Parts: sequence; C-alpha cells; structure tokens
Amino acid sequence: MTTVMESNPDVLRSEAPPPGRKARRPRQQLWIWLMLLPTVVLYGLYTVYPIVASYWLAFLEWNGFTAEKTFVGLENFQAVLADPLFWNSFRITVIFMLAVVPPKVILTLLLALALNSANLPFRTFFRTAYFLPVVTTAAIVGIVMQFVFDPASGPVNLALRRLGIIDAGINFLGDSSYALWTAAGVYVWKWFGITMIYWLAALQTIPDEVYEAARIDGAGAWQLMKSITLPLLKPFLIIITLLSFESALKVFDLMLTMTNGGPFYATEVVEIYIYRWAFAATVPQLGHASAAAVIFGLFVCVVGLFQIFGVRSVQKARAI
Amino acid sequence: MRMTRRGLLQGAGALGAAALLGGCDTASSGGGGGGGGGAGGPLTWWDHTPNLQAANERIFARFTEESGTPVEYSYHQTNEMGEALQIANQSDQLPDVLTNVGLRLPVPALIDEGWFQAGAFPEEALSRLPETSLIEGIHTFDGKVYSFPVFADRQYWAITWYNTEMLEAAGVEPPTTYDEYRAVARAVQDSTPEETSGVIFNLGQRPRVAEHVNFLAQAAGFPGFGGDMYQTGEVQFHHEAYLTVIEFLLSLQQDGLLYPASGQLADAEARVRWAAGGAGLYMDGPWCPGSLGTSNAEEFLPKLGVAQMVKPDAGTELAAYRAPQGGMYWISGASQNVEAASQLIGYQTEEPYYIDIANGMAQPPLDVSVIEKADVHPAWAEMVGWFQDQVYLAPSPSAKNPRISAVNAMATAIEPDLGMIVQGAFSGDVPDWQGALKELSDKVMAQREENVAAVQAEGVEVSMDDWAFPDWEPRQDYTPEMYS
Repeated sequence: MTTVMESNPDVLRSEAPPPGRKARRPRQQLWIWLMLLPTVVLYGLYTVYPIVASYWLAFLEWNGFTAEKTFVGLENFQAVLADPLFWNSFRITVIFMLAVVPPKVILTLLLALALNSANLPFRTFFRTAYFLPVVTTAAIVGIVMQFVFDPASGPVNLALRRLGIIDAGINFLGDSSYALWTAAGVYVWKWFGITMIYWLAALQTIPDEVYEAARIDGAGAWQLMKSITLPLLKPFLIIITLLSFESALKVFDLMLTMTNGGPFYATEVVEIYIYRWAFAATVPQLGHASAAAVIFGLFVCVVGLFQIFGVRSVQKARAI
Repeated sequence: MRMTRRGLLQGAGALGAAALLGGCDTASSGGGGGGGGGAGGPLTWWDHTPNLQAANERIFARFTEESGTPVEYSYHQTNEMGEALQIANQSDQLPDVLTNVGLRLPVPALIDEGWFQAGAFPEEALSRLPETSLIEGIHTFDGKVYSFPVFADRQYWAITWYNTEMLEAAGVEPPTTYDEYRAVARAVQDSTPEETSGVIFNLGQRPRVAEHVNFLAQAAGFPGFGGDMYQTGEVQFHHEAYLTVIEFLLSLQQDGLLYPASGQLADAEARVRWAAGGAGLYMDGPWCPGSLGTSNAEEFLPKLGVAQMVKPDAGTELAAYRAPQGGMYWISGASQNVEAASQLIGYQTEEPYYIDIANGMAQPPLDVSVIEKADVHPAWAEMVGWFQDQVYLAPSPSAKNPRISAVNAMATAIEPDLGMIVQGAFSGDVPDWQGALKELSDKVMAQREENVAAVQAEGVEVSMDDWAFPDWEPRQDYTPEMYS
C-alpha cells in the first residue's frame, strides 16, 4: 500500500484534505464530543462507575452503615461460593431462564406469523394489545399479579373453581411448587410483545417476490413456511433467542414485587440474593453482595459471548 | 444578531452541559429537598409510624408557629426505612430527625459512625419524664441524652384481635388457649361465607412472624426473648416453648383454618383483608386498630374485639417480658439544627402528646394514665390494662454492659433466620424445622462467641456473661438497680 501511494502522487493528493477542512476537523471533533458528553457522563456515572465500584466493594467488608471498610481480599468470594443459598439462587436463575425462553421465542414466532398475514382483520389492534404489557411497569405488574393469583379471591382461582377443575384455591405464588412456574408464566406474558415485534420485523425482511415465485411454482402454505420462511428466519432465531436468554436474567423488579424471592427462597433469583445481602439482611453486607454480583456478572458475560458468536455466525451466513 | 443553526446547536450544547454540571451538585442546599442538615432551612423528619402522624403534625404546627421553621415530614414503610436511611447516609442526605427502624447496628456503633448526635433537649422537657426512663447504654451515652422513650415498655406484640360480629354469629367466646383458638377459628369459618377463613396470618413479613413467635414463646413458658435465655445467656430457638408455638401455628394450616393467601401477605395487607371480612381472627401488635386505614376503620372499628395473647392451656399463667426500649426519634449526626430539633422532640414529653399517641392507638404511650383522657376504642384501652398486669421489665444486655455493642456490631446475617424457618415450615420447604431451629441456635451462639473473643482481643471488656442474668426471676421486673 505504501509503495502504491509513494509511486502515485495523485493518490496522496486526492486523500489530503483541503487546508480549510483540516483546520475545521478538530473543532468539529470538539463539538461531537461536547454533544456526546451528556451520554458519556451519565453512562460513566450510572453504568461504568457502579460496575467498577462493585468490583472494588467485593474485596471489602462493609455494612453500608459505617465509614469503616476493611479490605478482606477474596474472603467475600469464598463466602459467596460456599453459600448454598447463592447456588440455590443461581440454580433458580438458570431454571427460570431455560423455562421462559423456549415458550417466549416459539409462541411469539407463531403469533408474529399470524399477525403478519395481510388477511388477518384488526391486526394493528392485536399487535397493540399484545404489546401493551411491555410498556406496563414491571413492579406494577408484580403487584397486580398478586391479586390475579390470589388463592382466595383471585380471578384465576375463581375461574378454575367455577369450571370444576379444582376444589380449593391454589396458592400459585405462596406455594414453592408453583411459585417459580407462575412467575415464569407472568414473565413470558409481560415480555411477549417485544419478542413478537422482533419477529414481525424479521418477517418483513423476507421479500414478497420470493413467496410469489414459490406460489407460481405451486408451493402450498406449509411448503412456503418450511422452505422459505423458516430458513430465512434462522439467523434471526439465533439473535432473538440469545437476546431472550440475556433479558431473562433481569427479572428483579417483577420477582421482588410478586414473590419477594419466597416462599423460602423458592423464587430467589441471583438479583434478589444480591439485594437481600445489600439491603434486606439483618446486617447488610455490601461486600458479600458485590462479590455475588461480580460472579453473576461473569455469568452474564458468558451469555453475552454466546450472543457475539451468534451475531458473527449470522453475519457470516448473510455474507454467503 | 442572526442565529445560525450551528450557533443554536452550540448554544444548546453549552446549556445542556451547564445544566448537567449543575445537576451533579448534590450538596445540601439547606433549603428544600429531601436532604436535611442545612441550617436555616426547614427541619426534615423521616418516620415509619403512620399512627403517630397526627400526633406529630400537631407538634410540627406548634413548632412552626413558635419558631417560624417549617417541618418537612417524609413517611417510609417499616420494611423500607433502613434501605432509605442507608442510601441517604451514603449520599449525605440524612434528615434532621429520624426513626431508627432498619438501622441494624447497635446505637453506640451508630453514634461512633456519626449517624446520631446528642440532643440539646430543654431541661423542662426531660424533667417531665419518669425517673427511671433514661438508661445509660440505651438512651444516654457518656452521660449525654440522645433520645428518650415515647412508648410504654410494658406491651407484647402477638395480641388476638377478632371480628366481634363473626364470633357472635358463630356463638363462640374469644379464645385464650390454643384449643380454644382452633375451635373459634373453626366455628367462624363454618358459620361464614366460603371466602372467609378462621384466621389470617402475615407469613410474608418474616421479621413480624419472628416477633409473633418470640412473644408467643414467652406465653408458652420461654424464659427469655429472641432465643436468648435471660438466666443463662444461652441461645435456644429450639426450646420446647418455640416448638409448641410453631406446632400450634402449623396446626391452623393443617386444619384448613388459615386464610389461603397468608403465605405471601405482609402485616398491612393481612390487616386490611382481615378487616374486610377475610377472616375472624388476626394476630397483631397493639397498633392494629390505629393502622386499619381511614376507610376500613370507620366500618370495622365497631366490630373490633381483642383477646389476650393465646397460651398453650388454661393452667398457664400469662406472662411476657420486654426489655427497656430505645428512643423512637433521633437527631442525625448530619443535622445543623440540633437546638431546633431538640426543641421539637422535647414536645413529646408533654401530656397532650401522650394523649395524641393514645388517640392514634399505636403502641401505648409512656404515660398510660392519659388513656382515660383520650378518645380510644374500648378494646385498645382494655388491652393496655392487661399489659400492666402481664408484662414485666426484662433485663437488657446493653444496659448491663454498653460495650457489648462492639460485639453486636460484628454480627452478620444468619440465614435462614427464625422468620424464614417458620415460613419454610408453612410452605413445606423445611420439613425438619425443629432441626433448623437447633442449627440456628448453634450458629447464633457460635457467632457471638467468636465476636466476643475478637472484641476481647482488642482489649474491650466484654464476656459471654454479659448476656446472662442469673438473678432474673419469672414474673418479676428486672429493675435498673439490679444491673449493678
């Protein structure tokens, strides 16, 4: 490259900016950075700083009430890793993730296929209706669901009793056999709309001409689905699935308001475990909470790595 | 001057940056906002007791009238107060006056950390307090008064509240023993619509569950509180009395008498559902009638009835023990309005304030003699009368040796705690709850021994004997002179 440029002065001449432009560039960059400054500062204050601080706190013993912070090295990490309740919360987090992602991805795909059909009446209404829970505050959803699933007077139990399916009310949120699965169901319902929108966007990338050509060749509905829609959606499937896995790790507000991690730790996901140690323990231990957060953060990074691999594989597939 | 697009953007950017930098200034303005401590601004007051709101509003109005300084009141739910204070402290926004619920460190440790400062209470205000009200290590530290009690020590927090209409309709009398309690719950459940249960409980609020069990254990014969045995200082959550109480509570569920949603209800929710006809019986503290909420209170108070804390059998004489309690309101270490805050808090030793406490039907006021002058529900007044006969002053390790605060400050959370074990017993997740209680006792004892040794190693004079009161006798007050 150097050789080409040296041997061809025209190239050099054409790439060199005009004198006035060269002088303006630093000023332009200054304004770019100035405009970015609010985002950079806020991102730094509310995202980067807490992350860095939590890494530092993980090496300290500190209850949050005193000024004294004692450096304890890796003791907090050892305590977290030796705590069966941490592994319980980790297990619950993974089970929750595995429980919600498949139905969320598959059911929303089916719904998006239906809503993408030009023949479906009121499809805008349905899209809006399914999206409404997404814009509802998760904490409010959690509180409302306590009433919806109330074993005494909740509409779900009343309906089941009137239909003769059960004799006595089921304690969906207060019984450890049901609580996690109920919470998983609510989560899928709450975030159904966002995944549906992803699928609708993906479906709209498939050109109509491809379908028309296939129809002319005599393809039926099932063949269109099997040979065109699903293969072309495959790259999106990877991305949407990975995004769903990642978002299933963030259920703090919903779970806290709906079950508070109970009964007896049955729905205590890692986020609530961290919160309990940081704020709700008899004597809060911010170091212990931070160590758990760091370990959980590493797990999220692993999930994020899968996402990067997924994106790359999609890009490669598209390039081919 | 002609404004260009670029000029407009530059100006907007500069304004935005200035606003951002301005917004980053978190220093107390001393004027408004939630943060207290500024001199010359309003006095800020954080509280967790809705029952005292009316009483406090009256002293706020008087204070503002006399001093010209307004009072900014903020309410925080009991469960959330500690978290709010923790965050306020870290962001230098503590109020001038605060209730210390949720601050789980011993008071001396909090004083050392600058959370509280001594008050400059008017001598006249302090002189109105009963002679033995201020105890070194609880209210005074190094001879300085930091706070004083506003509530009576003689009370217990597992009272049987009931719906008189339901009991009358069922043809039963209020229960006093476990068998009677189950029978009444059964009769109420059988004589009311399907949605009504015999009993409602607040199993979703673990600390409250633990309080109920601790007091019920005293009624069942446990010679101590919170697992600590007064005479020996041993920790025995696995004592027979605890087992008896938890078996009784579980029997309510096994007999199908428990309101179905009890497993996830906090006390405020359980109380409202009980008042709305969800159940006939509800176990709660003395603040129950004052915490019903305006709409429920009007309709429900005429039906309110109260019975003494339930005990295993008729032959057991009811007795409960409660150590001298710390003050309710404290002046934050960050406050620059100590004089003003002290003057305001000082009004709380006057008779009208005690009458207002009684009117709010919270915990009984320090001077219970004012109740006859107050407008209270007869059931609440009757309950306070029982407290005078059934509740004895318990010994306090902090009063015996204030230096144990160094040991308590080192304590860390032990999970599952008493409340969680009881919750797990109800949900079926802790089938061997008796074993879990023994394990809890062992862990608490081991941690205390370890912390005592660590504090001793630093040259502080503490010992495990500081938790033991060999001269304690059942049904006797442990008086201040007995500490010496």
